Amino acid sequence: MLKFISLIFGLLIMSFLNEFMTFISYLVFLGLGWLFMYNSNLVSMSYFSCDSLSWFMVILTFWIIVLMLLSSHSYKVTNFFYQKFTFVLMLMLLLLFFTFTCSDLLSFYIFFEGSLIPIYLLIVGWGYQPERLQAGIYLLLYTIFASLPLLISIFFVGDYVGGFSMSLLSFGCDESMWVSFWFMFSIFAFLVKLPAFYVHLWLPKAHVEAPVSGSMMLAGVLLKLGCYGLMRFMMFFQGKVAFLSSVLVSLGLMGGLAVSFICLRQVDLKALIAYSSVSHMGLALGGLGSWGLWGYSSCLYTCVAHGLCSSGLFFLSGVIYERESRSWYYKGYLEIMPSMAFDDLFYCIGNIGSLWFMRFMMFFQGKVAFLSSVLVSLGLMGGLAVSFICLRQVDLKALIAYSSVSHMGLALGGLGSWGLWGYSSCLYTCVAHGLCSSGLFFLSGVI
Amino acid sequence: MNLYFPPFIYSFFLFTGTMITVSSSSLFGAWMGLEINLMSFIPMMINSENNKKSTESAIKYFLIQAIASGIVIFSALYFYFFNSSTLSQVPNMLITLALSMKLGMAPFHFWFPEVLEGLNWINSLILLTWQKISPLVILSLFFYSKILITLALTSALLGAISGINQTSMRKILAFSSISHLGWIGGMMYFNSSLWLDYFMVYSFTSFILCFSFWMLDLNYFSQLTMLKNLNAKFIIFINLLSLGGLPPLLGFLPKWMAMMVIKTSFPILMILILSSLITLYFYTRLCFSTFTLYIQSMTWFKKENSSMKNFFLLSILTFFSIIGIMPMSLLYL
Repeated sequence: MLKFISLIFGLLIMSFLNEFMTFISYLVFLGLGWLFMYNSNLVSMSYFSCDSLSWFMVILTFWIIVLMLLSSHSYKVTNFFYQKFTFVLMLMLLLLFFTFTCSDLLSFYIFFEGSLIPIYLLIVGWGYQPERLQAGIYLLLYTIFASLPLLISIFFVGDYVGGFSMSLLSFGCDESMWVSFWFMFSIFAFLVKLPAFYVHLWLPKAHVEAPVSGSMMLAGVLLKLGCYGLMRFMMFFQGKVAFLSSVLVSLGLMGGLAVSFICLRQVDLKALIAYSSVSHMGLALGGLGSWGLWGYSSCLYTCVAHGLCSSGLFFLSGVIYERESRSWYYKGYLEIMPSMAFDDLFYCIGNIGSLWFMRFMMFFQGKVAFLSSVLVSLGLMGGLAVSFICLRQVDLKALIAYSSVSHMGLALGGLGSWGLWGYSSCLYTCVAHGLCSSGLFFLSGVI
Repeated sequence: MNLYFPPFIYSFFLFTGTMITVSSSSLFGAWMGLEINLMSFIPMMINSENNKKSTESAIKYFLIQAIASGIVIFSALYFYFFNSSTLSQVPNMLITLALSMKLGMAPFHFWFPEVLEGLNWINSLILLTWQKISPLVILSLFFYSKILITLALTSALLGAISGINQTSMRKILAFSSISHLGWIGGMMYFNSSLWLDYFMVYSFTSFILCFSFWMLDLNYFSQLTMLKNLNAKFIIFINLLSLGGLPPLLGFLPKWMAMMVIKTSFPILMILILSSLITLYFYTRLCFSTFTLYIQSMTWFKKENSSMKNFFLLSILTFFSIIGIMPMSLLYL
């Protein structure tokens, strides 16, 4: 553990030098080293521990930090405070590493809060519009306000189990009087961080105002802090508040449904991705709320998959923004950058796929989740479809575009069959169609 | 930088007065210490600056403190009359009210920002930290708990709310000090001596802030945006957030201890935490110009004549407030 920490700390110091791309090689090295920590399960009573849960989160963090560096190369080119940018980035890496690996509840809380500072600095410092101030304040005060009850609850838990170590949490709580109140009180911080529906209002604002790297980090890792905390903390209440399962599941799933309705009428790409991530996190919450092993692992996988996909989508929206300085639906981009449209398609598919994988895991959860997943996919695919249809000026392209919409309809149908075959056929359709149609578009571009 | 500090003799008596108060075994001796302290602070206020504002604030300070000291000595006599009697709660209430007037706790806080507004940074620092020691020590011995907790909660909330719309740095520090007094009073209510640690960390953070404001010559909110040096801005924002008590910084440590003490009473804890959230809001509002990486460039900018010589000390102090919580929390584990 300490070797990783000292390397990250060295990177933090290195950010005072005028380096930028050098960080990437170090980070790749770090990530590769971390790969070997898989299954090491260092759960101890000491300060740091690593089980597969924190392993996943940390590797996600490394990955996304690399992507953030890659996507912000223009700061180096235009000399826009890039030194401070790398410093903030490395600070965030350090704090997130501590958050995910420390096994002490109080220090978990401190780093959980501390990771808010670098993202706040990113949004307010490198964001685009003046409204970023409001977004930053929203982010900061909303989450701090919600997490103070968590601190109080941590004190009570520490008194109750006789120590602040996370491994003591598994002893569980035998209280029966106030346990549901205690439960809601202590997970409220994570629900805001997740964000669950009703308390998600800070997220789209922050995403729209954040720079690309900021929203990649926000969607990729910081939302997962909520999941991570929930997964750690629900251990303590295991079996005591099973009757609250319906509350959590319906909060997650109905919230996801409602948000995916909102998704359908977004014009801003970043807001669209932000709302879709709210919906995804709602599904993760639903998985957790089922209080089962399957739901638990599905939550973990959703987190990882969504972290990968949504950060990719944000990256692509940033590519658009750098060229157009707007982030609405883009029209006709297929002509200019066909391979980028291809990437975008793939990430969208990945997003749906992750959702679907999730669905597959929590097979038993009912129909609402299904509906919401369809709606999210409708939102995302609708975005794509609109961008395709708008190519209508050129006949050939319109033809291919409409054909691709219909292909996607096929893929969706495959998903709707609820089976493994449908699932894989959807994947193959998507891949094959992605390859073919981008080739076709390329050819039409040549013509 | 100007180290001209004439009233050395006054500062000696200032120190002595507090020491007499803290170490005296009778209420009369404590009162005498308070008076010596007051009488030596007033010439310091007037001497250190030669404008009318400092004189005005000295008069205000004198009037308030004299009235409060009068009530203190009156309640001391009262204690003497009712010695070994159950009725002694009346002087107890009186001395609690008088001391909170001396400290500037909430219903009696109106003089505090006004007085602070007329002082230079050294005197402001003394008023914010050193002048609070002796009343706090007496208060921790002779408080009437119901009144104390009411005053503490009121000052936590009022200090936080009235700090929102301020533009003067001194007034912001004054209101934050009022709301910190709320926390200290809350800890005292639970008979914990940890308020001393709270007070020490608070003094340290406000020392760094006053020092940096003094060095960078900042008096008002708008001057912060005119700073050209981004590093100076960073130093100020880190210390402000530390004073506000954002978790990984040093200022969170006393709040943490206070929460540990106060957690037996849930409503008190919630009110205090809410008030600290409001203070955090106005600290972040102060730091906007730092966060947005905004550097104003104008042709008629003041030439930067202050050299970097004392930046060294300032950055070391800032470093303490960044990582200070780690060794300190290890001490308490």
